[in-house]
Amino acid sequence: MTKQKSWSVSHLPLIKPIGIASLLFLYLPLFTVLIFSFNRSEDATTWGGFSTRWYSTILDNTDLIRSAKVSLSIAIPCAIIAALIATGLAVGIGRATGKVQNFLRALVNAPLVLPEIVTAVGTLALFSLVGLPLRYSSLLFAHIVMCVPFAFLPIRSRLRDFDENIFEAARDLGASSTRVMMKITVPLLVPALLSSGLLSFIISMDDFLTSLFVSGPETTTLPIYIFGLLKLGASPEVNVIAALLLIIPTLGLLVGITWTATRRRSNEARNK
Amino acid sequence: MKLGISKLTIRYRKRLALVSIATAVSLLVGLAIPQANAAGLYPSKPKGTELNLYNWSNYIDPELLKRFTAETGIKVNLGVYESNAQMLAKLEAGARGYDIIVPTDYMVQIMQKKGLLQRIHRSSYPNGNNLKAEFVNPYFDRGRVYTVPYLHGLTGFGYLKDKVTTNPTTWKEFFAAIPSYPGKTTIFDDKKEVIDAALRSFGAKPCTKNVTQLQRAQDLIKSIKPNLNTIASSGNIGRLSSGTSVLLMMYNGATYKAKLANPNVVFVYPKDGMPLWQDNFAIPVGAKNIDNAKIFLNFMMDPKNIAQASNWAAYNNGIAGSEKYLLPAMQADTAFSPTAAQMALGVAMAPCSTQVNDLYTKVWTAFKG
Repeated sequence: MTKQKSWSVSHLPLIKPIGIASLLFLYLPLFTVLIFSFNRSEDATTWGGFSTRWYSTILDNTDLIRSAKVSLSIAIPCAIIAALIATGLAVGIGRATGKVQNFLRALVNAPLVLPEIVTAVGTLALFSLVGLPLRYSSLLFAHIVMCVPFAFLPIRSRLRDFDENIFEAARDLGASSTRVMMKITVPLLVPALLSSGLLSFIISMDDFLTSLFVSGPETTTLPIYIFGLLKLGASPEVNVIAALLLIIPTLGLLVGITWTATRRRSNEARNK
Repeated sequence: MKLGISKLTIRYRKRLALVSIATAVSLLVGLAIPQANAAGLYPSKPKGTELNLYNWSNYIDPELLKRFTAETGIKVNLGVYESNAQMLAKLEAGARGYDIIVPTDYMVQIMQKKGLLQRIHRSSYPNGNNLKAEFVNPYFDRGRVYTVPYLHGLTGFGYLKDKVTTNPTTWKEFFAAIPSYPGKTTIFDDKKEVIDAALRSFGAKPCTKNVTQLQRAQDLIKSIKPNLNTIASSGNIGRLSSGTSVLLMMYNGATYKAKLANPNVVFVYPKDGMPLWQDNFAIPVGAKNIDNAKIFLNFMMDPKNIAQASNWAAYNNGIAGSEKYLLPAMQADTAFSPTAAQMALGVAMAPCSTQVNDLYTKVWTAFKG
């Protein structure tokens, strides 16, 4: 922030090797999955030469494909709905004051520190108590509930950074509250909405415990399927699906980043 | 030897937590588990078009299920669990709608005592009497009132005959050979399997209360620990066939698969005894498609169908007459089908008492710690 001294973390001794080691540590497992998806061997964890055979047979593994589809069909709507609910909560809680705000915030954040197993078994017990069958809608509901506290975080912090004067100015100039919402709040929130949606998507895709308890016979998600493979050992097709799930979002992210960067540049150019 | 909770391994704490939370929650909400009903004999035709199977992933030949659908018009939905304990916890917490579950031997007994299984009325099925004699009266379900046998296997050990030249035939020789192959040996990450094997290696009985013997077992497994490359229950097929490990604790079917990839693989049925494990089909309470479940059970007692399941998974089954349909190469291999003498060494293992289980946990914690 201030330019008192030219001190920077990058001047610390050993910072480069530590940084490189950390990056390797983070990314080596991912590369391993990528490489092993081209494994010829029948066994998912021993290398048997290069081959793309599992990419061609993966479509025949109907249970695996079905579970990947279930995961996606839960994660996408879950991300959208959780981000929307979190926005409402964040805006609403932002308007409350003092103890009420603290209480509400604690209420939203509490599930973050609760062990997931408690929520998972509790949700299942609740569903069977009210007689809700374990179907798509019940799993989606459980995932949304699980994601909202996470989705809430980026939106809340973005809202806090807003300059209140903008809203006051808009109201002074005669904008209705709906108009303020649509013309100011929402556009300013877009980046936070995107990151909260992405976060929810990843949490939902990745979730094991809640899905394990709340999924029914028609809603086996990918993580559950992969964990269930312990009996006879994993088929190499699991590496293929992991690789695909790695490549597709990475490409999406790259496209997203380039798009925002070009937009920002053109905005800056226009402002000049 | 009083057991402190802190001494329990994380895994068992988790499992304990899982089961106790499930029990507590179901008690709290006053969830009455419905009585196992005794409705009906073998149905003349399917009712509805669905069957909800609750199983491990990839534990039944997908082609066999496709044929089941083609022959009966019943579509199979697959739900998945990762352990017997988790399946139990989920059903106890009130999950309903599964028509067929696949519990392992000891779990059948636990579930039946808790009233979670329905009587299946096997004798009214067309294939109901196809069971091999030795599979009709297992300790966990005398007379097969609640279950139909699926696949079974035996825990022995495998080795590469070009690397291990001492030709071990017993658990005693297995443990004695391990120090000769440092970093090239593996045992299961399974408290009961490992301690039982260690006890057998010096002539003691599994589930013994004798503290001296348990201490000896603990000393034995601790002494071989530095020579293990890993302690793992999965991934051993690749480990053995690639030579990462040359001597490992293995199931017979897994070893057969490793043998297909590497002809030097040998499976041993240890002469000092070994456990026989069996998986079974059962109908849990709350099943919606009971008629279809019975049709499925009958289908799996057909020798040709169960043989297809065995051919695919490389584990043998409990249905008489299925031998005719087994792959000849597979059947000729003792790793898949033990001789009568080898089979007789296998013992279906009931769980140890709580007291002994606590002692086992102490030994296991001392070993892994």
